[in-house]
Amino acid sequence: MSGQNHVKIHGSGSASGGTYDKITIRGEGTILDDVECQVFKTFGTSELQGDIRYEKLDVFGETNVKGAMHGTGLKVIGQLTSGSDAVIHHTKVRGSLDLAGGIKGEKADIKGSISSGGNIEMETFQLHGNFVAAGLLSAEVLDVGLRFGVSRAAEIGGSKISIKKKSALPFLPFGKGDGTLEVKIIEGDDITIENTRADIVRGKNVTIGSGCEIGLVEYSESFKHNSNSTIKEKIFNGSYEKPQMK
Amino acid sequence: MSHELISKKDLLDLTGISYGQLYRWKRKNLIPEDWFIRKSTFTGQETFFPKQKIMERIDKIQTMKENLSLDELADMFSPTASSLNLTASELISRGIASETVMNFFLEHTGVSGEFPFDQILNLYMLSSMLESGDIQLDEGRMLLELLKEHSKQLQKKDAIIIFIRKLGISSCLILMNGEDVFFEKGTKMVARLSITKCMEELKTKLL
Repeated sequence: MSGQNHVKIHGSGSASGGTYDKITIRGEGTILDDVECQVFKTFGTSELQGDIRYEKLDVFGETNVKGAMHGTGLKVIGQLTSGSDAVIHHTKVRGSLDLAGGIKGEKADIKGSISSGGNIEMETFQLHGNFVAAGLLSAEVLDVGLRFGVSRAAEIGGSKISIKKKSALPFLPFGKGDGTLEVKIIEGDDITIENTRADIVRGKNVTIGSGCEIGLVEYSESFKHNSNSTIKEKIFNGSYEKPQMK
Repeated sequence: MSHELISKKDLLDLTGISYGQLYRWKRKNLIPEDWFIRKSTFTGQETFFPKQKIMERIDKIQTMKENLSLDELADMFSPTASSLNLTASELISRGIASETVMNFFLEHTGVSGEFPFDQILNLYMLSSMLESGDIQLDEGRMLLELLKEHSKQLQKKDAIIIFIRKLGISSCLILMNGEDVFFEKGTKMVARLSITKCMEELKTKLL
């Protein structure tokens, strides 16, 4: 890293790829190739036509990265889309993050929405809003508030999984009612879910809250069940239990 | 290599690990993505694993996680070259190769000074084949040629090196993502070496 190697685009312009300390875009800017930098700040609209490696990336507005992302801290106030995979230690989103590939990291704190064409893998995953993962959503601690729309994942797996409904704020123009979740399999040690349609839920301690439709629950320690949810089949430690009909 | 599969549930029952641990290890790349085999069963989707591989791997993780962090473990299992550079004398003193094998290796590869990891791996494979008496020096040269020629493939997972001999004439080959190979009658397979296994053995020796 050389001492003073900055790119500033104010208004409209573009810059070539390469290695920089700091890149600031205010207005509209394009980076034409792969780029590596310490700090990338963009206010307005920007496009990166290659991969990006960074320490810190702040997006205020709209940014589209065509390639892969690799960095320590990401903050999005607005919208960030990426055409590939991402490895990001700390992700904070107030708005939306959409990736064509998968995302791996330590911690994600999202208010709004995240979508991934692959797996979402975090140690801590906190979200209020809506998510879509084409593959597996996996986290040590998964804390989701379903605010709007239909969230989807092929599988959800982890240690502590909590999925609850959160009413959409009344003055926001999202569809009416709560968010819901549709998923094939949920597996974890401690699972609490609401508003979820799942084929299979497996875990040690399973709590099925309100608004759920579950095909099969398998649990090994404890089970709680809200009466307005339906569960077709239940297995406790390998032995079949007849579901209680109210 | 058995191809017996074990379902995720049976695996957890058998090993006593929890879902949380399994997913954590998967996230940390301790268990490769392609060991998760999804199949449809009458209850819907089930995940299966190659039984022998996953049992060995979990056993290793459980015995080693006392003194190594998960990241260090992941590094150990990862098939990518790690950042170790050792000199010839250090490698001999760590018992990776004997002096004889080392001299033979140096003579035929022209490596000098510090060995990058891929060369250490080549040396280790040569050493284990020669020391076991499976192959002789001439064939060792053949092996080194093969390794040099296809160094790119060796970075990938699941490469297997096979030595065959028929009527005293020998040859060797690299098998990628190996399923099965069949030889004509009279061909003897004298040695079979999995690169991934060698890598893990080597890394435990170097740690």
